[in-house]
Amino acid sequence: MVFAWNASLVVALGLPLLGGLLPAVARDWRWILLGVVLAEGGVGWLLLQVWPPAMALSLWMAGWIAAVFLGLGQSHQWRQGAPLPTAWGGRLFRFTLVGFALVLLALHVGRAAAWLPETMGMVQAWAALGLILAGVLHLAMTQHPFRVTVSLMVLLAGFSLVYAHLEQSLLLTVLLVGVTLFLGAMGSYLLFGPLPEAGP
Amino acid sequence: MNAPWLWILLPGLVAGGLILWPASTRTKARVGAGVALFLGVLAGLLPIDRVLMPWPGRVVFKVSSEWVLLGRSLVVPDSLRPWLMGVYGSLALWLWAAPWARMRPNFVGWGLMVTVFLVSALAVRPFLYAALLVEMAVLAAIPLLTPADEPATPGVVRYLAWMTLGMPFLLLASELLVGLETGLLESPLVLRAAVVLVLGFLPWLGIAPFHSVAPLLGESTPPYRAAFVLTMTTSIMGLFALGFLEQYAWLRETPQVYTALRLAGMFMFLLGSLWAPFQPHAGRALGYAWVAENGLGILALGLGGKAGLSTYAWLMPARMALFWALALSLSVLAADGKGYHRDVLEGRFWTHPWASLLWVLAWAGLAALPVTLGLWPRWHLARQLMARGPAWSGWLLLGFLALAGTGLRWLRFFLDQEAGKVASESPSTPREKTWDRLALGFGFGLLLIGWLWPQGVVRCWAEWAVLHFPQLVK
Repeated sequence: MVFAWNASLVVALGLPLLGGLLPAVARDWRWILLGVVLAEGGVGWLLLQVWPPAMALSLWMAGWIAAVFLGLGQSHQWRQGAPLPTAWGGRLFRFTLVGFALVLLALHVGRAAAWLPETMGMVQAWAALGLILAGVLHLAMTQHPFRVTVSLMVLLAGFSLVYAHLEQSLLLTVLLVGVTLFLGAMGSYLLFGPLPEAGP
Repeated sequence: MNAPWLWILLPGLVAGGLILWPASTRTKARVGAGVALFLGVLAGLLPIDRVLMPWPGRVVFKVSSEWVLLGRSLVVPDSLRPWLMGVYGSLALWLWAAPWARMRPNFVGWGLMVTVFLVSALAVRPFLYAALLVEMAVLAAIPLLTPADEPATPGVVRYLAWMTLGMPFLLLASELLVGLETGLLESPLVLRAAVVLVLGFLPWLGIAPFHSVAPLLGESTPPYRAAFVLTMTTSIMGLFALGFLEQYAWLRETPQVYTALRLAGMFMFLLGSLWAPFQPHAGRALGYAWVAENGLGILALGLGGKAGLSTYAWLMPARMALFWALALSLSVLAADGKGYHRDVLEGRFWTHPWASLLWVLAWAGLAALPVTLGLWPRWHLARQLMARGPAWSGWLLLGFLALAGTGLRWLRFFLDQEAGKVASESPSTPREKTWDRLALGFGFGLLLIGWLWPQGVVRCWAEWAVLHFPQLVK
């Protein structure tokens, strides 16, 4: 149990860094995708502690499949010779912004957690709020379909941790799985278009 | 048999079939519009949860309202029938005219699918799952807005981002509100849920600063697609918002909620109407018209009570007809594929007289000028606002003048004789076809009949529709 708790803590602390820093700072789409895959895996791991395994694993797998959809779309663009534009601002600026947001979150996570279900606990609240913040920040920095979909996936992953503590119904899981897969598929669909969108 | 099978499962299967069927837009439009019209008429004729005896003693049946699915239910009560009539009737209009608007074949299937998801959001119980189904509708709108051989435009990406941003907040608010039907706004739990609710509805209802998605979508996407998605999704998201007011007494009975809605609605109306005249791009002007129209809807909700609700309901069919007419006429005007900028559309009256006049007439309807069906719900709204002080009516009048000015400005561009002469004399300039005039003529008829017959079907429909919200009409 001690090991499980430690692993959860490591996963929970690492999630916002993976989901927030990596997509915002990385230039190569494969690093960004790796960040999403690890963040979705981490959320799946945390969900396993709240939801029945079948439901948690379904959402975990849906996150990974959606990431595969996105990867296929972006690799298509890459093969067409369209590089992934960086998000707005320089790398140092983005790194500082995300770091600043994480520091703010660390200072105020207790107060923010009061808005979340009481059963969540500080560790899961940190992970959920960190992912939500990371998703919103990255979303504000970009309008490229790949980056926008990544941000939305990170944001939804954070929220799914919150819902897990409020509801354990099969229909909610099915709909969340459906939305995650559909979002990945639509992000990929936009990337398979004939011309890459210019601009950040 | 149950009602969700008829109004959700059946059109869902048809939509799936239409998406996969490799047929022309015209063929698909006939099938899609036929199914939508059938479902709209059926909603008007077929009572739900009542025993029917079409052949007494031999044929007896009952359409039940509930379909249990994965431990939860989809419920289409009898009181939802007028809204189903409105939604599927409007959908039939949009799908029927798709070939004239030069839509791709995928418009029909995805258009029907978007509507099915939106209707299922109105039907799902518990109510909190609706946010996820609306999100499915938003995602289904992506291939409709961007066919496979077109690039992703900034408008579509922003639409995806902002609509998806609203969903988790609304789902969270719905979850937090479980068991708080009769709380007090002063309670920290209720206040928390209310803040999350507002955060979700800001992007969904396109309230500033999230309104910019509409002009951007209008500019970067063909107007018929953009107008369909914006009007259809916002109208049903408005019903979703009404569902919250209906369900939660603390929300319904707090006067500040209505004041906030009125202020937000008026701000949106003025923002859209005052910006519209300065747009050199017809698609952007259409986007700002949507912002103004959306503001009017929120303003009507802010009136509260039965009067506000019936005004909101009355605005909906007029909105559908006016935006359909705007989008159709603009699609015909720009059928040569040169775009929707003012410079391109100057002098178009001399080659496309019907489409130009319908575009201007629809603006007149948005401006409440006494020539189209847009007048009556706006007049109804203005009368109720008058009772709340002259300032409200003054601001409303200012917005209507700006919208009328937009229509007049575009009329002046269309009548530009120099550009018209060049276009008329050039053999390569496409002209309005007799076939186009069939749909445009239908548009004229629709806008004018609604004006000449104000107390007719639409008013009765609005009075019927408000019964779906018994707590709000008390």
